[in-house]
Parts: sequence; structure tokens; C-alpha cells
Amino acid sequence: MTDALIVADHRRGRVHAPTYEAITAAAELSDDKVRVAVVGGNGETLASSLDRADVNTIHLLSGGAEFHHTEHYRGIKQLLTRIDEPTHLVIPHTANGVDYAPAVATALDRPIVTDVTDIEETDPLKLRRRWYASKLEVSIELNDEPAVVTVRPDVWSAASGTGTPAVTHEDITSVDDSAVTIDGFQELGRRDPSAERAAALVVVGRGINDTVTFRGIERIAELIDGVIVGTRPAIDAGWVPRHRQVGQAIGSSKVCLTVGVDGDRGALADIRRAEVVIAVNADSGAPVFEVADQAIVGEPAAVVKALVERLETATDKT
Amino acid sequence: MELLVPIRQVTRVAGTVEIEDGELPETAVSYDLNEWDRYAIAAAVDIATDLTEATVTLVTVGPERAEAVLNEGLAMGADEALRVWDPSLAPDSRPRADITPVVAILAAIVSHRQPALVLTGAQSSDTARAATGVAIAEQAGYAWASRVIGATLDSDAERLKVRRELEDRLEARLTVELPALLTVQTGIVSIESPTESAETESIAVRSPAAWGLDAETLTGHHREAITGMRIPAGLQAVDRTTGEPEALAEEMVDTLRTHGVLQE
Repeated sequence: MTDALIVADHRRGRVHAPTYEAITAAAELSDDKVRVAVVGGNGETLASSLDRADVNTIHLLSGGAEFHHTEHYRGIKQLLTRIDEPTHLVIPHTANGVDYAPAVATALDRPIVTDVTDIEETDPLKLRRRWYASKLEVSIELNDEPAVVTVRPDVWSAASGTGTPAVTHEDITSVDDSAVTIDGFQELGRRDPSAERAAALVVVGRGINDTVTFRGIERIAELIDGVIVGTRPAIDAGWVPRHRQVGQAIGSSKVCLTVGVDGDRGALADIRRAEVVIAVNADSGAPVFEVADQAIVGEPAAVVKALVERLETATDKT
Repeated sequence: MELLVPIRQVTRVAGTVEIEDGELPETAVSYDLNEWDRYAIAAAVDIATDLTEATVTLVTVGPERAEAVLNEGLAMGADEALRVWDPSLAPDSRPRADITPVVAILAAIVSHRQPALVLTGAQSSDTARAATGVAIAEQAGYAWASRVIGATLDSDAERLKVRRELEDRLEARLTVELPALLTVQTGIVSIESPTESAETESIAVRSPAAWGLDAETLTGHHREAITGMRIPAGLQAVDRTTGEPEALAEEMVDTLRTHGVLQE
């Protein structure tokens, strides 16, 4: 059986939560304990929050304070050539994870399977992921190993317990010659307390494409005292401002009503946190129905119109 | 300067499908231009508009039906289109799991043409791998940035100011020296429907051999294979409510009332 090395995702001095889930996934891949690599950042502090029961070695690689893909790419390549045992590389499927994982796989001539949701078998490695806009699940068997695997956030539970991992320090080549320079970070708008505290969220998706229906959604939000947020396509189309993007950590609510949301992107994890999810979609196979307590198959425009009328009657606000 | 835009015709599956012998029936699918690639084309056309001499070249690896997405891109303002194909790339109806042959072909084209900028979608709407773009950059020796939500070329056209979308409403700001490859997030530019139909630009069709690649060698070894396909258990088990809009609204109001969010 093959060992596993996880690369920690960290930002602003903290380990990003999907790293702990990746440790759990990696422990399933490997019969031995797993290694964790931390590239850059305040290594010792990050290491102290990575001493999970499943972790037997933490490799601290030199680097800048924040993520730079050239450092990750070079550092991980260098580290893997020093590890003798065949070792799968496990990386969280995050914005930064997918910024270097394919390059490492290509450089090391390894297969890569991204956005993995389940491990079916370990010898040979057989993984599950979604296909066709998340409507189907496929099993993928690896013919070459070891592999590079990126794992979907919010699928595995966070690694728990504590251990006494060995800590190693590795110097990696400076990336001063990189064609990419990090200039800084920018927060997109302030946190939106109204969306984080709302009892009801109305999530607008790709299926909304006319003003009349959007006005109807505004009326629904008013009648149930809800806040309107949007998935990426609704934001791209200009219906909802970017700081109200679901899938970008909008808070959990009591009720989540999704209208025309397909659920093929990262939005489902946020939607799933609501106590009750009502989903409206014209497509009976829409992946959003997987997290719905009430799956309403209907054209959003017609359902919104009827719902406005029913709510106005029910609340006596015609 | 040349801007090269690798695009993909994606498979769309509508409605609730039945899987037959682990395969999707051909009747259940239709084909579209990948949503992310549409934004890559629009961003390339935008950047090219501000330059005195710039060509936007589209390239796709796909069978004849994939020319539909090239024509869409030409209608959006791209100048040239190239389709690369060899029948060994799709010997049967099953989708190929590994990206290796497509990456090898597109990287060879980038290495050969040396475009100043390569723009491609951050992922495909059907497979959502988010891997091909960065893999091409690595194989062609190009600088890259992924999930790009903003890109501005400086006045001497030597570097780009780039915004990458991270999680939790955070963006990273980068400077990227050309030549470079960017993978594009949707929303990078606003897209208007093409107002004019494409002039009948011709689509060049080539085999991978045009770049010295042997298709049989490229495709002979599968590093990964799809061994099963199914409707996810959680989606299979859903109890769906159908009916007239008024009846559906009634049921939704009941649920809202039960959970106490209705102000009465």
C-alpha cells in the first residue's frame, strides 16, 4: 500500500479547514499514518495546529508568508523526490490547491484525479467523483500510481485527536525568478451580517433570467423576511452583488429557498447547512435536489408567480 | 501578438437520466460551448480590442460536431479557429478519464505557436476537473494564474495585472509576466450576445501529427479509466414534488409555515 502526503492550505497565518478533511481522506488512502507538508507561512505555528492523530510527520518547507504557487510547485516536487516510499499526493480542492496540483502532476508525470468525493478501493486506487455537471457519479480506477488527488471540501470529516509527529525543515529554492509576483489580497466588500444572520435565505440561480421573476423573488424575500443571495451565474448576470455569493461562506439559516439553482458548483455546502431546504428547479435531475427537503420540479417563473400570490394571501398582505 | 484560446464542447445532460450498462444513452445528451470558455473568449476579444495588432485564435480538440463551439467563438469576435482531431481520441462512446492526450496536444500547440497569452476556462461545466489549463502551462513552460476574475495588460504589453478569486470573498492580486496562461473564472467580463453573425471564417482542421505527435502513442495508455457510472445515491432517493404551479406554491407555503418563517 502507498503512503500519502497532504499539502496544507493556509492563509493569513491559519490552516484552512479543508486541510483537516484532506488528512482524513489521506488516512483512508494509506494504511500507515500520513505526512503533511506546509509550504511557507509561519511554519512552527501552523505545525502546532496540524498534530492530528493520523499525522506522523510534518514537513515544514521554507517560503513566503502567503501562498505562492511556484513555491508550492517547487517545494512539493523537491520533497517527493526525497521520500523513498511511493506516496500519493493529496491536496484540498481549493482555489489554491487547483493552482498548483495539475502542474505537480504534469511535472512528475503522474495521473491526477481532482475534486474527489469518495475512495472506493485503495489497491489499485479507485476514486469517485462527480461527472456531467454533478448529475452523475463515476468510479475512476488508476492504472498508474502513485497519483495526485484533490479532495472536495465539506465531504470528509475534519481529522481529530492529537499526535506527536516528527517535524522536519526543508529549504526550497527561492522563487525570485518566478514570472508571478503576489501584490496583495483584497476583501470583496464587508461581511454581510444580514445574510449571515438571516432566518430565511432566498438563493437565486442560473434559472432566473427575467426581471418579472426577479421582482417576484424580491417580494417573496420581503414576505418571509428573507435575504436574497445568489449562486455564481446569478452574480455574473448581475442579479445579485458579489459579496452575496452563496458558496463564499454565507451563514446558515433556518430556511433556504433556492430558485433556479442547479447545484453544480460549490454552493451546495452552504445551502446544506440550512435547517430546511426548499429547492425549485425545472430540471428534475438538478443536483440541488440532493440537499433538498422539499424538491419542487417546476419552471421558476411560474412557481415564483404562484408563490407570491399564495404568500400574499397567507400573510394577508395583498 | 497572438492570444490563443483553447475551448471545449461540453456535454449537457437534461432531466433525470437512466444509466444503461454503466453508460449514458446518446439520446440523453446535447452539446454546448463550455460556460467558462465563453468568458475566456470574451476576455481575449476584450484584450485584443485594445491592442493595435492582435489575433485571437480559438483551438479545440474534438470531433466535427465541436466546430459548433468554434463558430460561436468566431461570432463573438475571435479571428481564427483550429480544430484538432484523431479518431483514436474517442474510440468508443465512453468519456476518457485522463487529461493526458488533450494536455499533450494543446501544450504542443502553445510551444509551437508561442502566443503571448493563453486564456482558457478555469474548468469545464461537465467534468469540473479544473486541471487542464494549469497542466498545459506547466508542460509548455508558461507562467500561469488560475481562477482569474480580472486581467489587465500593461501599456507595453509585457505583463498583466491579475485578480484571482479565492474563497471567503477574498481575491489575490498578482503581476504575471508574459508569455502566460490564465484560467478564467466566469464573470471576468460581461458578455453580450453577439449582434452580428460570424463571417464565414474557415476552420482549419489538423491531426496531432501536425505538431509531431503520434495519436496512437498519445491515446494508447489510459492512466485512469472510468469503471462505473451511476446517479448519485442521494439524488436517486429524492422525493420530487410535481404539479401545477399553484399546487406547488401551496406545498411550499405549508413548509414555510411549519418552520415558522411566515409572518402571519
